[in-house]
Amino acid sequence: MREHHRANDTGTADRKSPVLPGTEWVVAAVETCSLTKRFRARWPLGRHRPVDALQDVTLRVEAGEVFGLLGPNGAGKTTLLKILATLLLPSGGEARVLGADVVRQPALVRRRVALVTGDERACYWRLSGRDNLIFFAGLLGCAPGEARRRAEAALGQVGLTEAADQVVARYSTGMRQRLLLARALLGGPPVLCLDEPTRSLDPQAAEAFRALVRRLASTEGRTVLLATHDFEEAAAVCDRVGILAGGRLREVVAVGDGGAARVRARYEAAVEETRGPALPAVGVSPA
Amino acid sequence: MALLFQLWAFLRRDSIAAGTARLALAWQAAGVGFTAATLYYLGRLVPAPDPAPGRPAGYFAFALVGVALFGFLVSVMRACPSALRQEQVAGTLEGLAAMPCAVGTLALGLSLWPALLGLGQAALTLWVGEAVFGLPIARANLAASLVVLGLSGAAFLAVGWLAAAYVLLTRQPDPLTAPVAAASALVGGLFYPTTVLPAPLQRLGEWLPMTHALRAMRLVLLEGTGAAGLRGEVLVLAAFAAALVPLGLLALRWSFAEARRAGTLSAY
Repeated sequence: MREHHRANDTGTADRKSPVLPGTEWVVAAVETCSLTKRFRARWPLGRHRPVDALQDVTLRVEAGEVFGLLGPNGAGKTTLLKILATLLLPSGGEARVLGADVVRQPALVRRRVALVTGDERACYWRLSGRDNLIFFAGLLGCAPGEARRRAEAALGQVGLTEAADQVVARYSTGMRQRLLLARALLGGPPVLCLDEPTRSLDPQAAEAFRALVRRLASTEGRTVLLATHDFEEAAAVCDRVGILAGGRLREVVAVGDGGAARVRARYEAAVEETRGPALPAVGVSPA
Repeated sequence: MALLFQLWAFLRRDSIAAGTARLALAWQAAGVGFTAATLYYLGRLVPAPDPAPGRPAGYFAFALVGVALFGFLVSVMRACPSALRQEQVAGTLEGLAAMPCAVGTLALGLSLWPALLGLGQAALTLWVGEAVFGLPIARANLAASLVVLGLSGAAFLAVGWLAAAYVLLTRQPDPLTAPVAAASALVGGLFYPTTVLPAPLQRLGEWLPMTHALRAMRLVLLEGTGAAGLRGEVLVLAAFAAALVPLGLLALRWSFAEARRAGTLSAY
């Protein structure tokens, strides 16, 4: 897997891409090649069968693109995002973030990518929102003054300035989700991985969050990978959508005009293809 | 410089979190007074364990110095595994692991506040002992005591890293530090000199860093012994630290890699 020539891009050549100085080669924001993740049986008893969470996933996401990973539960979306965030090691294949290999250059990758999960427990509830962000900015190596400045900026970006001194335990779910997004923005990472960030939000909060994500991508040029099982969300936010099912990347669909219907049709077909025999309806005995 | 900022971030976070539980801190400080008083009255019953000429300290001094150092070293040892377990259960470990921090920095950062708290408690114990109960530490050699604290603290920190590696791999509470602390109390000379133990237990005690740390600290604080007089104990403590610190760090790095392979960083 090497840098691709701009002319070889498939339908994404007009997007903003960081060109390496002195060359005409373009590095993808995210690139995977035959990426595989197999969760092994439990050692030493082997009581569980191995699970192939990702199988042979090859993907290229351009800089500045909002790319959706759409799939049902267990499709491999979270696994893929965690590999890109260096929280999981792949079993095979390669993955790169702006050219940095997730296995061989994890420290570099961690400066280029930030993961936002839908798990609102992922911050310190006894600390205020501001103190949470100052802590994580400190872990990025910022001096105390700089950490405070970055925390203020990130709070402003997600609209939490007024609630900055409240302890996180008093935040609503939507506010915690915005705080996690603010944490991801602290280091100014060019790539944001969002793992079902709206799953616990009410429709209004979810829409506001999507608008925030679109703004981050359009005004700041960040690349966003959004994992979701909601095809309407994928169609509303993303430029292209990769449909994952059974750990395999089935298809990549450009959204465009009438995209929602197309995404929905392709998604349902992919899910149907991977689904086993239908369960009997509740209360109806199988014949 | 980035390392210092990262460690400062941990210290600031933990001090703010501790500030939300002030009653626990106050109770911990009050416990120091109870311990010192108990040992003082016990000391009026028990004869001095080592009544050699030129050694004025009685049982109270012997036991109080032991309790202060033991408390510090055990809190250093338990710091990393218990903090790591807390991060696992709270669901914040994955967020930490995604930051561009070396494993050693995480381990040190998670241990820093509990270790400083333990140090403060040990200092308070000695201060209460001197101010209220007349603990004879006027001849204490401060520089030598820092050397003993540093070396023994490093050895116990590393034992804690080994325990933390277990916590990370199994997602279970740490099973290592409690038996190490119990064995150290039994054969390390916490409440009595090791000379009262049967020979096999005395020999076992020589293989524990606590034995050497307690012996050295009593010499330093109660008799004002300098670095030259401590050479034997200091060398043993340095050997423990030199062997255990790389081992603990390697174990922790390996366990983080295994957790990344198995996908268990967010599990508990």
